[in-house]
Order: sequence, then C-alpha cells, then structure tokens
Amino acid sequence: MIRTEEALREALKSRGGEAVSPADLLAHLHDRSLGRGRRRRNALLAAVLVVVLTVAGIAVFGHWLHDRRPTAGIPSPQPTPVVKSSLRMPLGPPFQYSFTIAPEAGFVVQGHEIRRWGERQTVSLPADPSLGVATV
Amino acid sequence: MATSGLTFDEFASAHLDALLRFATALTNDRELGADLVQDVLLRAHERWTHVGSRTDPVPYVRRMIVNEFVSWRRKWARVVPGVNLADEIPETGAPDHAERYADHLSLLYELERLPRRQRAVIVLRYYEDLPDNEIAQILGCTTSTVRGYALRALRALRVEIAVPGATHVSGAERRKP
Repeated sequence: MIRTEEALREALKSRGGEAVSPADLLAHLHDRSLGRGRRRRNALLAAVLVVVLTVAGIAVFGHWLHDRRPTAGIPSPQPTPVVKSSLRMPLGPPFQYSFTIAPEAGFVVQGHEIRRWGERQTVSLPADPSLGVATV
Repeated sequence: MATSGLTFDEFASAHLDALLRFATALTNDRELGADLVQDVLLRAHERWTHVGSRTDPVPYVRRMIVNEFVSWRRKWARVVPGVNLADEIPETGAPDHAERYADHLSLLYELERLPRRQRAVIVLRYYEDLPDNEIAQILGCTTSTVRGYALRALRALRVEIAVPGATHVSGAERRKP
C-alpha cells in the first residue's frame, strides 16, 4: 500500500500525543537529579580510594621486595682462595709469611646470619722451591 | 548577545510537554522518549548557565535530544518487538477503518526499524516541520545528505513523495500566501 506524506505526519503526531505527562517526568527528574549528585560524589570517593590503596599496595610490595634481597648494599665477602706467587726461594730454610688477602676484617650480614670475613690468612710457601706456588 | 532570561524551572514548565512529544515521536516509544528527555534535561540543568544564555534554548535542547538519540549510547536501549499488522491482513478493495488503523500501526513499526539518522530526519521534517537546512544543522551534515536520508526513509516507508527531488518546504513556509 502506498502512503501519503499526510498519513506519515498524522502517525507521528498521534505517536507524539502518547508521551508521558510532564508532571510525572518532573517528579522523576527531581529524584534523579538528587540521586545523580550522590552517585557522582560516591564515584569520586571510590576513585580516590582506589588510587590511594593502589599506591599504598605498591609501596608495601616494593618494601617487601627490598627486604628480601640477601646482600643488598653490602660488598661480597668472598676471599680469593688461592694466591699464586712468583716468589722463589732457591736457598735457605723454609719460612712462613702471612699477609691479608681479603678486604679489611670485620663482620657482614649474609642472609639472616652475621659472619666474620676478611680474616688474616696464612700463606705458606713450600719448602721445595721448584714448586714455586704458595697455597693458602 | 540577547539571552532568554529563563530559569531552568521556567524553561521546563514551558517546553517540557513539547519536548516529550517530540522525543516520543522520535523514539516511537513513550518510555524511551521520557528516558531520553530526562537524560538530556539533566545535562542541560548542569550546564544551564551556558544553555540558558541563548536567545532561544529550545532548538539547542532539541538538538541535544537528537544527538543523544543517534549516539552510540542509545544503541543498547531496549528494543520492543513489534508485528507488522499490514502484512497479516489480506489485500482487499477499499480500506476500511480497521485496515487504516493497521496501516497506521505498521507505519509506526516500519518507522522504528529505520536507521536512527533517517528516523531523526523524518521526525524533524514531518513532526517538527523543519526545513532541510535546519535539519542539516541539527544533525551536523549537509542539506543534500538530509535529502538523501529522507528519500531513502520515504522509500522504505512506501510514502509517496509529492514532488520528487524537490527541496522540502517547512509547514510554516507552506502556509504563507
């Protein structure tokens, strides 16, 4: 069926006439206006809370990670176990000579233990000079 | 710049009825229309210093309604299933009252199935009696685009166009001698 523009106009007018009454809408509008303000305030508070909790969480986690590191900021106390010497003693009696091969003696926190390190080490030169290697 | 000098309450009490009717014709659903007007008026209320400073805030609010209607947010609005009654009734001779009523309902149903921009053009043209250039301003497109939308919509609705290809003349202009 072919329709006319007038029929279309009438259909739209009749549909428009079925609109809800302004008084009903105004009552809703007032309620929603109040509710909208409250909702916006709550949303803002929730957003601020989320940001604060996130920052606090990151800070706590970072601190925990830092504490877990075993030797954070402490130099390695590992002394060199073997010293090679070019000192040769072809003649004379065997002798001993001691010297420090580690950094200055002291204490270090390693893991959860306190250890001594940097002790004086005794280096013995062999009686047989042909070996020519000192052992600790 | 001249201002309307209206408070929001004065504006609402003077124009709410017309805006509701327009939104109902646009959405083809009284509840959706009321919902649309509510949302738009809440936003207009928040920005009333800007909206109310215009000489006539009605076209601005009407534009807000149309933009809200064609915006993506409304695409998830509830859809009311309908039945095309005209298809159910067998074609006979002269249309009687029941047949005319069925055609009226099916016209509204087909109107609802149009793309939103086309529907907005039809409502602004045949309900608000706006000329094509004003419709183009509201929708933010050119006059020829508006004509294209209208032509496609009228074809889909099987509405006979009085003068094919002619520019639409508003109701107010038509009534002039």
